[in-house]
Amino acid sequence: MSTHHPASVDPPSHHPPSHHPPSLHLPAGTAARGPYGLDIDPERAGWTYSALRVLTLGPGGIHSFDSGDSEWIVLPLSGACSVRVDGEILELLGRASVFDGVTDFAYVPRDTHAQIASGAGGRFALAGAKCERRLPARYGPAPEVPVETRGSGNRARQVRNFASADAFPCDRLIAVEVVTPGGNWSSYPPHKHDEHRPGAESVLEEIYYYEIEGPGALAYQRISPSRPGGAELLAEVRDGDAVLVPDGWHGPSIAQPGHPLYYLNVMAGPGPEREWRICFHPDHTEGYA
Amino acid sequence: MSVRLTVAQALVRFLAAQHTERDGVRQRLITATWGIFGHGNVAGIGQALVEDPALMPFHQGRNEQAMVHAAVGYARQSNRLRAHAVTTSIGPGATNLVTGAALATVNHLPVLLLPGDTFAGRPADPVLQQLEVPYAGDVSVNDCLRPVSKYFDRVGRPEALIPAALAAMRVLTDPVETGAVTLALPQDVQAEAYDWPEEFLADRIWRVRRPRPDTAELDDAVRAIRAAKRPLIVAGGGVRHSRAEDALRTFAERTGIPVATTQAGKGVLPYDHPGETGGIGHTGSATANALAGTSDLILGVGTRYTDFTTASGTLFPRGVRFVNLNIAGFDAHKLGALPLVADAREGLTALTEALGGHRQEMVQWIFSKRDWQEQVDAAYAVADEDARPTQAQVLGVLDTLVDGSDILINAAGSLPGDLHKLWRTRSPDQYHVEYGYSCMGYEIPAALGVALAAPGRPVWALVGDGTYLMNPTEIVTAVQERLPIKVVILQNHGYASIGGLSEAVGAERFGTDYRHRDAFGGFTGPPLPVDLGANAASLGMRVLRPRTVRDLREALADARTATVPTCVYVETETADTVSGPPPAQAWWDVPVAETSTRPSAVKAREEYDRHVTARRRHL
Repeated sequence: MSTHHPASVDPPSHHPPSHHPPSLHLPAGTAARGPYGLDIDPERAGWTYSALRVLTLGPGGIHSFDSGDSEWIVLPLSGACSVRVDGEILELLGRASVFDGVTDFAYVPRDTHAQIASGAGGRFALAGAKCERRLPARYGPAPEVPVETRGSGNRARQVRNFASADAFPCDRLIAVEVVTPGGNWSSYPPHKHDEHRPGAESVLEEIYYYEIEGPGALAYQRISPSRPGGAELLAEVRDGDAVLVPDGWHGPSIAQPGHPLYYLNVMAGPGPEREWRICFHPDHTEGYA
Repeated sequence: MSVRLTVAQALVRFLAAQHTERDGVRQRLITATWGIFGHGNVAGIGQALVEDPALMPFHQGRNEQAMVHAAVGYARQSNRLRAHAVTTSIGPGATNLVTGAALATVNHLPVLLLPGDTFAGRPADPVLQQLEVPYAGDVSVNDCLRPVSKYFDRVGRPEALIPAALAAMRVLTDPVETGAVTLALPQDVQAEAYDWPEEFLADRIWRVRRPRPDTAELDDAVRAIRAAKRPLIVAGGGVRHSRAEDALRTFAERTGIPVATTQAGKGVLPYDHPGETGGIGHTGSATANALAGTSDLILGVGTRYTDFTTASGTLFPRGVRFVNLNIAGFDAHKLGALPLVADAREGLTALTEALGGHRQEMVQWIFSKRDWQEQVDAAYAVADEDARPTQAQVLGVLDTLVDGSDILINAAGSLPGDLHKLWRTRSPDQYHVEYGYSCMGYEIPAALGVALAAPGRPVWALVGDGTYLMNPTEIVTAVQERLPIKVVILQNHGYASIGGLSEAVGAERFGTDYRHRDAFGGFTGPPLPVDLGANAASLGMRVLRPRTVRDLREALADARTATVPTCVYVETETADTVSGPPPAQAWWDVPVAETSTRPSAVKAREEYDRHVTARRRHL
């Protein structure tokens, strides 16, 4: 589903932001703030739209937050929770872990106050995007999440399009989950979405958040510049790490043999349409199908 | 072999040799005797206590009822494994025991009462203070103690002490039966000598049993819990008596079933435990009461289901099922429950095991609990540090000062309601509110007993002016024993709590304010020039007189670390409905005049009739 925005509010953000954070790779714990084990907001990321928080609640834990100028999706990573927003209580059954399959989730609009509570405790992602329109708070049922197997052979991976532009209405937020079997490559071929080219490419700031099964397990994430001075990274990532993709060719994400790799992608940008349009790296065109 | 002793001497020797044992811990059962001497006990028990002073520590009291309260405070703080005896003379001293005995029996707390009695041999009828009734020669004033005692015996001959004393110990240490136990001791018999078998005076151990549940009852309970969609635990004082707090915590954490607490049960889980939903019933939290009102199964653990807990039969929905885990069959069968007769700890442990991994996730109440905590914060909040505190603000200040070692004692007035709603209990024995008998005047003497059972811990007696006036006498004992209890007197010039109730039931606050009589015969004149601070000071207490919230912070902090008995005397401001504690979240049945010429009573009756329709009988 696409959403129109008045052109006047679209800042010209297809240039590299002037204040990149010190690193595009945020190892687990290094971006913790307050109640959040991970807290990436646009200011910290040095961009304009995308945000991600990871919240851990103990048994009976409760967390309150103001959505402010952003829309949010509360996504259980492990455990169940209830979300109270706009006088409604949305019960999320959640899941034991991100490797257990799709989960239900809750949409929290901007300009409201929300509370997340968990009886048995758990870990919950708050994927956010600065936005303009206030959509209704809603429950996102797990059975309605489109699940797609993308790529074949050692590029095969599972994509869960729980909040892709087509699957779930938001104002700007796009979020999907990808599970890559051990030894496989995903986010491949490398692609980018950092130029506004109507019908061909959209500008989207993107966050990767990783979870990897097994002690000491790791994965690799590559970003190569799409322009001089653009983002570049080759990082060994571990469970709980995040990577910022302000611009540039990103991919592959490489799973360690024997250790399935999960990541959550959170995207948003200034485009007049809420759409995920990407451009593949000219040197690598195979592997998507 | 035998030993020749008076009945009183033998009794003291016997009591010094009795022990309890539970969970492998052995303790002396009767660790001290409280007494006030008159002709009915001075030559018998009095002489026996001085014959061998090392056998039995003695505490001198000022009022017999207060001595029983002190003994009850001690027994409760000792988890009913230790108790005190109370000795009195034969007349008013004996009948003064009645209120204290009723309190002990209602609350299932052991206390041994040893009133003197009129001559068994009747050499001179009537002896001083003897009741003479023309219809019976064997009735004495001590018979008033029969209905309020769990065991009553009159030792009419020396050798009758043997079965009587053994029966008394059996009842005191029986977790089902325990309460007030009375051995009436005729004045002449006390002083009579007898050749006592040595075995009678030898060390004796009374095991405080922990019965396990019957397997069929357990099966029924497990099936009911498994089938429940919205179960709720109601935890009462029995959890504390059994020291089942850890077993309850494990059960709640494994099953995810939330826990609501009665007055006697509050504190079994700390206030910030995820399973804790607050007090239940008329003085309970919105959280617990909302859960109760929508529950399909109540697991009552160690509760008697008083009218405060059930909101006079209106709290629990029609069709709800009860499973009652109680050591007493009497309580286990209440409300048409599936009974689970067992010790609370054993029963909870058995249920946890039998339920396996069964789990019931209900998390919506977490939001409600947060809302309720915000209401507590609002009631505690202070806008002006230089204003007089409200009662809730006094609790709020105390809340900032205490840790798990502090013990709060209260029994009557509006404080039990405010405490049940607001207090953030940090440790299992912090919340000592006697609400079985809700006896005005319990707090100060009970504080002595608690301080004796828990030396070194800050013990707070919270009283209103009405309660203080009922029974301030044991302040003298605190001073005498150098027990650094902290007495907080909240001065609101009258029976404020019942004044509020009076207004609600159409009695227009009649006779509830402490004010001068006015020209029309009512009590609407200026407040009485009463200075309870001066009164406490005259009894030997150190008295602090905070006037503002700012002063109060200092005074309570000072009192908390004081090494002498310290009184904090504070005039409280009446809270308005916005800033005060949240109103009652459930009903309490106080019948209102069915006919009246006064509009307030007519209106109150309409309200009453509306509530009455919500009464349910659970069969």
